[in-house]
Amino acid sequence: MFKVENISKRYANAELSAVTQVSFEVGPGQLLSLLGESGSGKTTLLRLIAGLETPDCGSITSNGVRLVGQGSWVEPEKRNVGLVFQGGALFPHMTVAKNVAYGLKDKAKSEVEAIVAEHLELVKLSDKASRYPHEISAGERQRIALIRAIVQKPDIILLDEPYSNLDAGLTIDLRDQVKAILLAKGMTGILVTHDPMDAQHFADKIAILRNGKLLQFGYQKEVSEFPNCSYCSMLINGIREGL
Amino acid sequence: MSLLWRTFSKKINVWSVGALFGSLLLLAPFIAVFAGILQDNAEWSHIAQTVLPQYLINTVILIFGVSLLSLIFAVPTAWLVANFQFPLRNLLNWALVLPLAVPTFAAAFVYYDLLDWLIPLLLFIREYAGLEASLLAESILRYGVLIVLLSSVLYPYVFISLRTAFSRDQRVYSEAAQMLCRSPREIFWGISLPLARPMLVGGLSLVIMEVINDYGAVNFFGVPTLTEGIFRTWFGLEDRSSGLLLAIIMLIMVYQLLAFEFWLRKRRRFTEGSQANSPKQLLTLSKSAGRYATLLCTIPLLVGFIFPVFRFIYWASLSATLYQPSEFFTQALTSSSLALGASISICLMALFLAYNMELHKSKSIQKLIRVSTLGYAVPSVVTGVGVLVLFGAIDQMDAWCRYSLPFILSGSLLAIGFAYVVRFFSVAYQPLHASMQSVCKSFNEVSSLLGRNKWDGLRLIYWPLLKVHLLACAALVFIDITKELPLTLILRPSGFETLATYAYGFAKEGYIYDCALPALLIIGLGVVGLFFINKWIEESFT
Repeated sequence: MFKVENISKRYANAELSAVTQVSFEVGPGQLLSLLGESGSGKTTLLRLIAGLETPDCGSITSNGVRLVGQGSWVEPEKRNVGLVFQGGALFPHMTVAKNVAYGLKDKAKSEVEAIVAEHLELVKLSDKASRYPHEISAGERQRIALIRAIVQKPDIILLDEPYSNLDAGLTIDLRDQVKAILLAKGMTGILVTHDPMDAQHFADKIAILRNGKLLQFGYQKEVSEFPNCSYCSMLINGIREGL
Repeated sequence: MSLLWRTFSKKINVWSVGALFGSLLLLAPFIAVFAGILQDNAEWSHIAQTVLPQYLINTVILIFGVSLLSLIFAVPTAWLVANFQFPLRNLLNWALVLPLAVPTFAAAFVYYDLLDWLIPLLLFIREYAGLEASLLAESILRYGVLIVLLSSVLYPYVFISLRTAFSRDQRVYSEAAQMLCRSPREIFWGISLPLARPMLVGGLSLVIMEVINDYGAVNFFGVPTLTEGIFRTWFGLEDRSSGLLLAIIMLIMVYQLLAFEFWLRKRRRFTEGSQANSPKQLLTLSKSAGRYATLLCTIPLLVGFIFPVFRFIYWASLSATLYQPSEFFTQALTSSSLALGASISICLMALFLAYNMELHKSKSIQKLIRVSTLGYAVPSVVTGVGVLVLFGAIDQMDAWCRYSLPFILSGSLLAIGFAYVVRFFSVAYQPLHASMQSVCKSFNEVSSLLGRNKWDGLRLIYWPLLKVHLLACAALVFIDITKELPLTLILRPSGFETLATYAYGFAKEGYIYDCALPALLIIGLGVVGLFFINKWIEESFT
């Protein structure tokens, strides 16, 4: 069980809090979408979970272990959390295979090679192992970023708008693949997105954020069919404010 | 209590302690300078009433004159090479940077000689307008030639900044103006120049700092500025406390300049993200316009590089060879080794602190690192004085505690090496940190989330990605150290010579032909370094 409780974050010199008193939980193998417009605090929330930002208050626990809160602090590298960045953030000086292997330290070379081969096969990119990131397509880069995060078997995987740089056709293909891989691996995942279609397609649960506050949190069907406010209704139906 | 300790200890690690120690080390000489205010300084009022106004006036005259002429040299040339195709444009694009390889004191040797050619003119003025007019004319000519020579070797700072601004950052705006039927001249005055203002001010600030910092040229031309004033007060009058006060006045001037530049940059936005950031097509000029463009671009190159280099080659052929070639090459090797050692140390330290800047969310550590990069803005003579005070205090440590070092730091190679690190740290740090932010983006975070520690991030990600950038930074620092004069004059151990002090020593004693070979060697090393840096700049844009 992955639990976020009353987490808040306000950046220095900012007038408003980026995240205010947000709480939710995700069960093992469940997928959650954090849905919100630009500036709603969803990426900040993801970075707080990953340990790339420190919260002002609140706590985060993973399988009963407190990652942050009440004086506890676990470094990002020790949290066993995977993060897929926007655009992938693949290391440009390493081949695809080396990128995937980067997180597999303290393992025998043969074991690393086997794990890398298995995961490249999973995303059907075995033939691209020796290519460099700039030699493969944007969709392929995102798939490599996904398996790079998966190979170290994280407790939870975080996806920060992974489809934002892709065209519509590719997005549909990729989101099917991503969901299939996460389900096949039985992994817990959190997707950050501004797109209601992505959010509904991906998740078992949806959390809607606005101005750093959690407006609605529940199962996908419940949130989609019974939005609890007009903003949630507009957002989930893809109607933006002011339009 | 335990909660407080846990929160505190969370921030204490080898990286944060290293950043703190490194930054304080770089700031130590300046802290020593400010501590000097507390000393008794009875002579200060005399200096303030007699020579200080002259130092200040001369410094301000040079700042204004050199700034204006540097703009006249740099703005049209940068605009032309960035926008138009004309004969020799590709060659001039790179050659216009070459005057940077010529140290200001070496240019002073060459142009001081020109004043002799003007003696008939001065005699003519004395005969027809009297002695007063002749003395006034001599002053004007001396200041004028000094301003020309300083501008001719310093304008590339503005040229490089503007060339980048004109050729890359403004494409979309220039094209929009073109579509609105604006002529190239209207685009230049209405769009390009106003948009390039932050780059222009940045380049000009470097020029002004170099003018304030200069010792060799102003000393040679007998135009005492604040830098020369510190030399005279500290070493001539042995009045250290007044020397420190002069140093503080210089620091305040430089601080005002930096604050002004920061304010200008902060107030307005000058680009709109990535849409502005791609190279543009060059317009081909007509034959006659092309010839004028070539001529215009050749003038600063001629004044700042070709004329001094040919003069030095000619002088070298006439040299009486007062020195043995073996002695000369030994000195050259020693000087280059010191410059190389210091460059490597500076680059490694810059990498460490720039990486720390990426790691730390702590604003206080980030601010401390930022402040410690101000060394380049501080004139060499102030840095030199600061190191003298600091190391002098360490050497006398046994006076206030029972421990003393087994060796003397003042006047050692360690002192001079440390001073180079303080002075030139920023030269490596600034471009390296910028490269780190653009090349490495969020890789540090990615590396951490993949379970790697910070050392792994530096070793496996940052180092391989930034190797070439580090090499270019090392070349930049190496050129600066090879050209450095005032710092070396203040701190060098007895009998130790660098190429710069060697050349300066000969020229000061009147052996002008003998200064040619070391001066040429400094220029040659500079040209090779600039070639690599230019390649790096070009590649980093493609």
